[in-house]
Amino acid sequence: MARVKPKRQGIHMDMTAMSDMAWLLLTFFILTTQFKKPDIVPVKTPSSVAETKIQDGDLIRITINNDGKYYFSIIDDKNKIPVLEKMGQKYGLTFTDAEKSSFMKMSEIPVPIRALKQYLNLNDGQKQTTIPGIPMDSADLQLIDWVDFSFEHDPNLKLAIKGDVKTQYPEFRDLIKQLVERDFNKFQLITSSESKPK
Amino acid sequence: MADIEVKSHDDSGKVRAKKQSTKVDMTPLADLGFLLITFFMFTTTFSKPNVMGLNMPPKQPKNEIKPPEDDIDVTNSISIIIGGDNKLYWHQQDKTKLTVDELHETSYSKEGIRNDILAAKQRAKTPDYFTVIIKPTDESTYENLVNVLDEMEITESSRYGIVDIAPIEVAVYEEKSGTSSNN
Repeated sequence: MARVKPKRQGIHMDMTAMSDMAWLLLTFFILTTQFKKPDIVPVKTPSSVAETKIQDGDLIRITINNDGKYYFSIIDDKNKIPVLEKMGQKYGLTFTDAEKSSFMKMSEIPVPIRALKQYLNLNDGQKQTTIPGIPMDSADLQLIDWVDFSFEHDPNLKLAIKGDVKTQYPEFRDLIKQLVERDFNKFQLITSSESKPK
Repeated sequence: MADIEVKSHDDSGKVRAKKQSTKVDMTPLADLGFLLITFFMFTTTFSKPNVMGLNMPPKQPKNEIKPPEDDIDVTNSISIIIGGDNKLYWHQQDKTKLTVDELHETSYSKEGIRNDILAAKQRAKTPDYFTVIIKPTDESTYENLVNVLDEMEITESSRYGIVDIAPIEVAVYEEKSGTSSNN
């Protein structure tokens, strides 16, 4: 008598559902990822144990590079144009629509306001090399004006400061001093993360 | 691949067109999906930098008389002087009485400033009011300052302030470190 062999069943798992879920999640992550606009100035931030993550909206940022030059960024797109217009008003400049759309694409404002109009009309390659910084000395407090107008437009803004590891302390002190002079007392220092020692 | 065809026996003898399975193996598709998910997950969550709050005291009105400074109990505070070349010093003296011997050199390492702050905190008469005074010199860098602020977080010293260094402290610091500002 022949033994009844159990019928060999192919092990088969339906992967469709799993694949569906994977792609669904993928779509979600693709849509929520915000690609960083390329930074004009390379800045290596010092590390700290601070655990608070940066909030993207309602933020303005002052960047100090290792040469002690200041750059200003408005992170929230909706604030960019109104602040630009206010700055233009103060310095007697008007910007065309093309210049405004070019301004929207910038992550950092790397030039003094008087040179901004010319800068916005440069092509991308030239923009990479023109980074003189925004003046901030006793004679010309343009950088503080940018901060001032940003807060005037949106009082809920937070002010972040991003410094390079090699930035000399006097550059930072001068900036803080000028900001405190205009009653901005709360700052957020941007750092990279580091684990907290036990 | 994961599909093993099982032959079904047909006894009727008729030659039929072999039924091809329409099942497509989804495994590689799922693999690829998860791979991309992993990529996007890593890029979204880890690109966000951290922030460290820093509050400065509001400016003092010009006509306001400054409170006398000499009534601060020096044992209840520690002054950290951030020097150039990643050097770090601390003292617990009134700034007018500071001498080279009283200015102690320390380092950014784990056994350095962190222990000094904690030891000073232990010695403090009223630990609740223990204050750290941070005095960066002109030669120090932003990274040095952030590192010291970090120590405040680690040692849980919530009372600290960044103050301009006094000329007498600069003189002592220069004597101690062997640098002078006129080079």
